[in-house]
Amino acid sequence: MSKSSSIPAPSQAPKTQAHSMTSLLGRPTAGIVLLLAFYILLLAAFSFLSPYFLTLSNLSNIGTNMAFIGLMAAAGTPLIIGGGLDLSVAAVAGLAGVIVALMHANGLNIWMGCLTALVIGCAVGVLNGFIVTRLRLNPLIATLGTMSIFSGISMVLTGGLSKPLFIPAFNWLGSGRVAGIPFPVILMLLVFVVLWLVLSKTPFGRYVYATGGNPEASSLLGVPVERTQMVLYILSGLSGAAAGIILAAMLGAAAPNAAGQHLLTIIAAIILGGTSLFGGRGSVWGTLIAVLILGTLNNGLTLMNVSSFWQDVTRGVVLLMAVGLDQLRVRLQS
Amino acid sequence: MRKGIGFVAAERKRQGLIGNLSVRTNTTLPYLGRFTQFGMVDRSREEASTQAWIKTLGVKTAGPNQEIRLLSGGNQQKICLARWLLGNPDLLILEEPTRGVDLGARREIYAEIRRLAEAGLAILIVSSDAEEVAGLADRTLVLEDGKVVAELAQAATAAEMMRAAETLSTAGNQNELEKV
Repeated sequence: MSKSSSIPAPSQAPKTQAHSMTSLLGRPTAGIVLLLAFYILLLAAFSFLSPYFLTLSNLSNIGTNMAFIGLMAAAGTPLIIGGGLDLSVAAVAGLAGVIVALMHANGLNIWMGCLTALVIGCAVGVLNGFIVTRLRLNPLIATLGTMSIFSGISMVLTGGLSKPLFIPAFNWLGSGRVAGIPFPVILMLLVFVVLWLVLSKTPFGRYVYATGGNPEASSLLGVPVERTQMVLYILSGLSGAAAGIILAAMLGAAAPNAAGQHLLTIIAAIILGGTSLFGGRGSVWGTLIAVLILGTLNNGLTLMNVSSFWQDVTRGVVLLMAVGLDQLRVRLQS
Repeated sequence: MRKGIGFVAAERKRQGLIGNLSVRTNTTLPYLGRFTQFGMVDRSREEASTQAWIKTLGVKTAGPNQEIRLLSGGNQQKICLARWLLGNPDLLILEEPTRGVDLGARREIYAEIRRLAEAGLAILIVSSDAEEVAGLADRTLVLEDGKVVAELAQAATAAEMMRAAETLSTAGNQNELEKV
């Protein structure tokens, strides 16, 4: 009796299970839900492994350390959705800090320095946008070039040395708090919310997805493809400058090469967050969770006394696993 | 493009569709301004309008929010047609309107083209399918290497077209028709 009734069951069960799995994983929000689940798991694991992890001061530490990276990743997300890429963003951050420090050293007002840095960030965005949309260079090559140019200029301007920047009002940008929350974190969250609204609600956001999905068809359908990409490069340059200012304020110094090492973390966060490098697909919330995951991973492993070399290895493994899973998801979907 | 002319390209995948975006997004893209209020796209109005076209043209899809790449060629082409009709164009240019479209959908597209023409829309069909042109056109121009080689009156048959083309040697003719 048990034989005859149990035989059809196993063949049935995996089928329906696979089907419900497919439809569940096929939802557009599934990627973000998976990411969030992974993050909660990570939080739980670290709280279990280290008594220092789940404290308010440590959590706000994670936030502050990731905020300037998050700023650049936030603006990088719509750029990559729109079919672009900006490798120069971290170099712009370094340059922004250097500009603020040098202008201050020459007796100029610190806020004038900040404004100048933001304007130069925009200008680099215009340059990148011009090279990509007008000269039609591949964005990877174009921004690899400008990255090298601007990190080089930062080095030339400072002779490779950090410049101290101790001005309490300025340093507040990096270490100040509003209602207990670090200012850099507030700024980052604000940027994420604004970019989410722009991407999901405005015609410009629609143009970003269309441009990244199929530029040729978009252009034939009246989408201002080049203008859209230009705006995205400017946003990216601007985010680089803002991140550089925050970082210099946090460190109390402008180090020309302080931001450059974080470029790969920025790109990794965007990809981990489910944005396709081929364009047309992605969301800023995915990027935010990914930024938190990478920051938490770093912090948790440090608390557990894992060497920073192993942290790089772990980050790589997490990235590959996440992208692999996402590929699987997309394949299941179609 | 914005001057009241709609254009449905022959290379649907490459020039007509943004494959990974939804049916709704693909439908409303050329006239997105009409769905925008205070700088925000009104999604529910988009959905209603897309749903209406899905019904009118008999598009087989899971709904306005399905990715368009998952639709069949014929149903994709119906969306390519529908999106221009949202803007009430003065002239609609269709390039190979039924390439890669199955028979059932092809008949429905022909019926829609007929209906639109009768309603007073000027339609220019560029096609290498003589039968298609014969069945639809009010006026037919036979083109070769960008030059008009023959102009045929109303109700020209496919055979007449082929003859007009063949008297000037070489095959690979393009028939163009205009009807108002």
